[in-house]
Amino acid sequence: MSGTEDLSMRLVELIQANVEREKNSQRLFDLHWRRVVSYFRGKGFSQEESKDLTQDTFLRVFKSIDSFRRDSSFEWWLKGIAESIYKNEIRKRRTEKRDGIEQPIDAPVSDGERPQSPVETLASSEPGPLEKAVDREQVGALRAGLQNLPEKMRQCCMLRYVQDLKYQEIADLMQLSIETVKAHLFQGRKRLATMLGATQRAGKKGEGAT
Amino acid sequence: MTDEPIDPELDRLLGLLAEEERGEPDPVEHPGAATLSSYHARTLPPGEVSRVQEHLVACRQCRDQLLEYARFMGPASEETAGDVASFERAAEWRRLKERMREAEAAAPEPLPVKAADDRRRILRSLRTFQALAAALGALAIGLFLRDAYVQGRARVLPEQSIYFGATRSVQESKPTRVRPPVALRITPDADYPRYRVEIETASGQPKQTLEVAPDGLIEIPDGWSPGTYKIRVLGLKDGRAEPVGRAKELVVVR
Repeated sequence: MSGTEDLSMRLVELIQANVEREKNSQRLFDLHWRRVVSYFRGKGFSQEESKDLTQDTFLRVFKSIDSFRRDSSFEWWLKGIAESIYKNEIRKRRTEKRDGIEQPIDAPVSDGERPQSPVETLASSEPGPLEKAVDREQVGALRAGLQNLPEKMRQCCMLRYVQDLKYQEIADLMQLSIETVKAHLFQGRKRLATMLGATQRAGKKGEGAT
Repeated sequence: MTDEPIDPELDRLLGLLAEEERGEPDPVEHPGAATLSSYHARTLPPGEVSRVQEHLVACRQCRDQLLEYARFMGPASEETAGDVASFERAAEWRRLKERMREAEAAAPEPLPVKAADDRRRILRSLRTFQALAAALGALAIGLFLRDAYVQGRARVLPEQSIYFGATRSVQESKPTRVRPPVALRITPDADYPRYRVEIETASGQPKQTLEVAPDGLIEIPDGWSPGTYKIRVLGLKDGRAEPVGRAKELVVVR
């Protein structure tokens, strides 16, 4: 546990034991107030809205702190409450806007003929049945190749190339340094490319033989 | 060298693979909040870490939770939090205290003066009963001890079953709540002559390890403190121990 998590847990224990409840509650509030405001700011609320939502969060925290069982960190519990307040707020705003006219921000602006998006352009040049079959075979080989990579390398490759995560996110999730993530990806790609090359060569050889 | 080598063909195939994989639903079972929180705090035992990491590769929901928690725990950015002076925070604390007072005031009304006097009278008369209650308590404890002594090992504990195995995923996803003392019947969905049951605390400390026959019983004695434990079953055959199903959460309550 980090120093903050340890300190929070100690404060929670004191509050639950009714030891200088108000003073320790304020210390807990001071420790996390900024963090919770940041959370709501990160969700796109204004500073004033974020402060109000932070108030709601801490109101609920101190109302139910005696029932916090301490089987997760206090911060995890706090984030859960902030998330619940956020979802309630979004639901409330949606209900208020139900009768309004909604205009999606990514809707096309022009009145005339809509230009074809790059995705559609790609979709229109669809591969033929033979190409599709070859692709399927190669994707299968790639999947098998991924499974044969060492555990950490495979996990990094899956998170990067399949789940489309950023280096920093992979490093945070896998508890690795960003340099280690990059090294795993570099090695992983190299091995996959080699494996794929061998599969393609074997395929061509097979075609030549028939 | 750590730059990713350029290979358009590999990228194209990885893109196709990603399209296929992204359509897959998240796993049905998820590690609990306690496990994810401990994983983030790096206090999980190594075996458990691998299991969580494998789960994270496949589960968007848990990934999002952990990444958001990492952001939540990261240094609060000046840009998003704004320039917060301590007096502003203090003002917010005063506002919160005021709101808490208002919330308390809106709660059920306190007893009126007359009712308070009545309550004092009731409390006085209750003291008379305290001595009687203490005597009765002592008698009950004496009877309980005598009972335990006479019945000894023959006492019968209430039973609860816990399932392990691939075909029982619905039951497995829920933690098993037990109130000690209780006999836990280990029912594995596998075919081994014997099983090893490993129980560890939420912090990963081994609590108990023992071997049982299929459908064997283990005792959770009264002395176990309430909390979440992790219970794992391994099938034993030809000197090998193989995991049966996934580890389960055992919640001991009072």
